[in-house]
Amino acid sequence: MDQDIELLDRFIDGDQESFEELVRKYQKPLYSFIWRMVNNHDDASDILQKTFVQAFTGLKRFERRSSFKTWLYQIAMNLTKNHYRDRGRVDFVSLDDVVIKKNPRTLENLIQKETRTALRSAMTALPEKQRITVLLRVQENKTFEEIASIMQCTIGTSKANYHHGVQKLKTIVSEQDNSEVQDQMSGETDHVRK
Amino acid sequence: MCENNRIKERLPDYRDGRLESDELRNIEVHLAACEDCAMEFRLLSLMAEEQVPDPGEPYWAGLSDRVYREVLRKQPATARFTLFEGFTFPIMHRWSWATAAVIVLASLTWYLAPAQMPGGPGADLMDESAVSEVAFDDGIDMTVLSESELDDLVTWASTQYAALFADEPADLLLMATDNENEDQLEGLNVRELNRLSQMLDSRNKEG
Repeated sequence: MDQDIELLDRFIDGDQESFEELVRKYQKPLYSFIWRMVNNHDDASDILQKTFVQAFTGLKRFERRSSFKTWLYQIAMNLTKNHYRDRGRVDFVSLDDVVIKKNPRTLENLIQKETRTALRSAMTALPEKQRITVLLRVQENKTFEEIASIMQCTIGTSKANYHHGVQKLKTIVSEQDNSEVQDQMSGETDHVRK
Repeated sequence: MCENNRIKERLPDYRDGRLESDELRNIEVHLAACEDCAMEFRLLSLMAEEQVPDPGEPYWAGLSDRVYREVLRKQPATARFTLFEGFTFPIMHRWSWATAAVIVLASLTWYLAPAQMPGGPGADLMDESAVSEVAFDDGIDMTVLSESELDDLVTWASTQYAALFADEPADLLLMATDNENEDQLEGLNVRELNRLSQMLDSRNKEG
């Protein structure tokens, strides 16, 4: 039997140590995943705790067809989506704004620390499903099978979201070579629409 | 733009060193020749290298307890009462106890009130008046009754059937007309009734 399922069954029988073991096992990967979506500790911490609470209080809904790990990621993803919808706004940064803000001429410029922040901002400009798919694949090292399971879609859909998302991110870099656009944008004030 | 999605999909695995040697070699050859994929690989590497700030060990150490308290607070039904080691049972909601109490009361009511619930287990436990009614239905030898008992019987019968007659006054009137001699029978004592009975029997025998 899956080790997580064994721990879950022991928790259901009242074993607190099994509960703690499961939390310790997944707290850091989940925090990382959530933080990359919300980009701040307070929200990430709040959503992380809610994720565990919702998972353990809603075990009747866990049908054990997928792994407990996938179940946790599904909850974390949905809570993060709800978090932004409840707040009534989504941090939105247009791809053009990212180019204006950093004004890099080559891909090598992106390697600098500031431009990493710009790339993170560019991620927020992606459609939600593409952003989460790219994040899970590139930053959380998930396979397409795992991504499809977490996002409750087909493997083909998860691959399509990945390719479209990466292609849009690459657009940022390719636009940097367009000096005409850069000259036009260089005088504009940095701004991030929220 | 390169259309080799198979290579592109494996770039994160290539970066993390999770490929077999054959596939690793194929991707290396491809990246050396394809600028588009090489650029994509550098972009993905840049993203993957981004570190998430660690909130620190005190945060991680306390997380489990915080979550556990919250789980218990939100799910009191899972709390268990330990009578002794190895024998625990879940603590039920108040409505569970209320439901159990209603079931017990309904069962007791059904058992102890046979008259209102025909067919119940107490249906055979009839009270004294019920026994008298059965005996009366089977026929009673009025000769063994004293005069006072007979009077009591007549009084009881009048009271018992008054409601029945009150429901059908027209029938009662008809009965009174057809059986006007019945009033006179009430005035007869036991001996007179016996005599009347013997007389009627002898007439019946004579045809």
